[in-house]
Amino acid sequence: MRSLPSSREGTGFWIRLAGLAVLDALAVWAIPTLVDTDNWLSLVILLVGVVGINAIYLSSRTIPLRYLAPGLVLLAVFFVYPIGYTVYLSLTNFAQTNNVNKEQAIRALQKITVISDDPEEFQLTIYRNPDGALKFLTVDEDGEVCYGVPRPQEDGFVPAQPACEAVDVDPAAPPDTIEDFARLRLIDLIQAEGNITGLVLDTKQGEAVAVTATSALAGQVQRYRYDAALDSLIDRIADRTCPAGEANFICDDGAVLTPGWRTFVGTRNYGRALTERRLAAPLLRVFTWNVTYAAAVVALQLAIGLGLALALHNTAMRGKKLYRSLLILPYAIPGFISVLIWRGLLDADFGPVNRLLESLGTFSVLGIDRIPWLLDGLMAKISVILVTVWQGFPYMMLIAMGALQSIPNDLIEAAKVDGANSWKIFWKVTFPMLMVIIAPLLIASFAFNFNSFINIFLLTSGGPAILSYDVPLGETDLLITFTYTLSQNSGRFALSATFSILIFFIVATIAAFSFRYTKRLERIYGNL
Amino acid sequence: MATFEKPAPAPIAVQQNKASFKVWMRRTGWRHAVLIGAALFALYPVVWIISASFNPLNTLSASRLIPKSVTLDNFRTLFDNPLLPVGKWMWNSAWIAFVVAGIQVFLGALAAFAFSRLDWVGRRAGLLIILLIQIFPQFLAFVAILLLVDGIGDVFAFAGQNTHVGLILVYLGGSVGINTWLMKGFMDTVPTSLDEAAVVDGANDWQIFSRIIFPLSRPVMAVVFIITFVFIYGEFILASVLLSDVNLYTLPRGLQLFVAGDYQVAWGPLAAASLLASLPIVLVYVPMQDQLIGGLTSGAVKG
Repeated sequence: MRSLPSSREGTGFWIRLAGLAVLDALAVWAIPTLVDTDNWLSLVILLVGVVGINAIYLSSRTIPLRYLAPGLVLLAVFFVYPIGYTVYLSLTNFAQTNNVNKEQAIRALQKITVISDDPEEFQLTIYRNPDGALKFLTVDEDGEVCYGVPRPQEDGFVPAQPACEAVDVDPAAPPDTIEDFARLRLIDLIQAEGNITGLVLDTKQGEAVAVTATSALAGQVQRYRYDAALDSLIDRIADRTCPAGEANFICDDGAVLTPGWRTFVGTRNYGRALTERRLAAPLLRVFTWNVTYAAAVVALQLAIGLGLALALHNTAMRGKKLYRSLLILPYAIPGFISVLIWRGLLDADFGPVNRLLESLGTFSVLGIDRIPWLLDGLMAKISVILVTVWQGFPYMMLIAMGALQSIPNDLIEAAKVDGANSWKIFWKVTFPMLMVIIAPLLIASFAFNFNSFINIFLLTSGGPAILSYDVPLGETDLLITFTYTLSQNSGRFALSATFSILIFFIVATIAAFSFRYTKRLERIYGNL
Repeated sequence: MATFEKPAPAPIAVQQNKASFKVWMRRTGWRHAVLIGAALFALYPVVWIISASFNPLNTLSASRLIPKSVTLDNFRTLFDNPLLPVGKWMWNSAWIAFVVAGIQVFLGALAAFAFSRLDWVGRRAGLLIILLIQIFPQFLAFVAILLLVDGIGDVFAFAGQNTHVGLILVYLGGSVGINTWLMKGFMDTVPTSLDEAAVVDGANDWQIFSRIIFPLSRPVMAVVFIITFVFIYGEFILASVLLSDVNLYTLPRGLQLFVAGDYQVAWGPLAAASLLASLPIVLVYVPMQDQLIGGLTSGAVKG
């Protein structure tokens, strides 16, 4: 190909400049936030990217990149990066319970407080200065005094240094004023109650007084204290030590404290998914059903679609256009809508399908009073296959019609001359030729239906539930809905990412197989 | 054998009638029988959508194929129930899909032009890489996408989690590869003599793209636009992972609330929503079925 002259004039140039201006403005806007949050890696990537894009659109030697850059940037950021990140996540223990780093986990655990079993009685006096600032004066049972600035309870115990200031008061008779702070009267207390509850005063390391009501006070105790030398949490209530394990603090008695922290676990998730009985057994079950589902759907769609294409493949018939337009409807209606409607139609108690069958006398013949379409395991499986076949057969019909037209007529004429009957012609000539054309599409359709999330999720939500497994699983769950539930309902993100990668390998295998199979068919029958 | 069998000679009229009916059955009649059967199967839910959306008795148990009277109440509730703002969801879905499809057509055409018309190192490898990446279904990475968009939201609040802009960006990244392929295939069929003549006349790359290739690619752009629009309109997983505010929901995510809630009771409004939401798609799809299936097919074969 030739190289093309470039231009610094005309609309293209101004579009480029305007785009760059917007991009650079966004980048400048992002810099302070990234610096504030110490997000240096993102900052470097952003700057390199933005400088690169500016170079592409200002240099005259990068013409192809000018056309590629917008698409490639989107592809890289929102497609390639998430794939890579999914792989990374599958090698970690990331979960709802393990979504922070170790320091954050320690901080969160140290914030946990309990009201001790034997709460100490405190006497509390509250002071306020003209500016409205509050100070608490507490006296414990031993007569020890603490006077200081309270803080909101939500801030937890870290850093929980005692807030007591040096003050010389008589524990038995708190004074009316301390410096410019005046003692609050009962009436003021009641008015200020909203401000006072929820405040705590740190009296000792790891202990605090919380205001729970204007009159009653309880001593609050920090439950876990981190000992850096031992790398352990000390449980002050249960009197046990919880040393740091790989991703959690695990106490002497085996209790695992949450939150834990994120850590790299290598291929352990894959090992667990494939070998650990708790996961491998449900996974195998889902996989088997998933393959059955996709295969059954494709086979039935093909059978119906091909049958209808043959029925329409006759130039003499009237009403072909009308039939075609009516039969395309299931495919034209958005999938999520038809699935929701089918859910109502198949309702066991009130659904029109059951009512129709009842009025036809089907149930009295069979001796049942309803068909539990979506409620019974087997029937739910049949139902989801039925609905998916309903949605997709028009596609197969149109494909088969196109393929039938592309089969050279002289082949069929030649077979007729040789004395073959129409049955034989179909199976020996038409069908093999057809398969050459549509086999790749069948495999693509299999891969597509392998992940038909919406059909399962909106029709049965994966159910009816199977209760015999530790993981949430239903009779009609596909790998993709199972993966979704694991992350959205159970918060097991790393495991979910692991399943995503496993599904990808299955789909990729199908694609590779499809590619080779197509090549082989082309060798046998020639490229149509 | 059947096709070649000659109808038996018929001495009396009644038999002749019967015989010609048999022939008709064999030639055309069975086709009508099969097609009518299939049409009943295909139309059964469609008829129910239409009937239930106009039925004043709007629960599932009270629904009848032919309602006793007709009302528009079910449609009205779609627009004035603040708990289930179906009208808003339709608008959200429509504009998100419109924006994504529109930008896709332009960005896909730009990239396809580079692959089809410009000469650069790594062109073939680039095409192959885009094809291979596309084997991975984007929604499988939903956990990573959620974390990514969350991170973007920390810097650009307008494009973070629970925003339409964030969702649109994710959608754009997901379909740009396949659309580039589709459009590249079409641009290859536009004769190069056209742009060669333009070069002789002194046109530069942008002029060739904007004045020749882009206008001539309109047929494929229409197909790409509709396919992308329909796909985004019905996308569920990413929308439900990224959006948490009921007012920002897209239609698939929103209608799921009907399932979660009192499904049997909300049957009439659900049917009305279904009718309204599928009508525009169906009206575009049925007349354009050949081009659209063709587009999907070449996409399926290549990617």
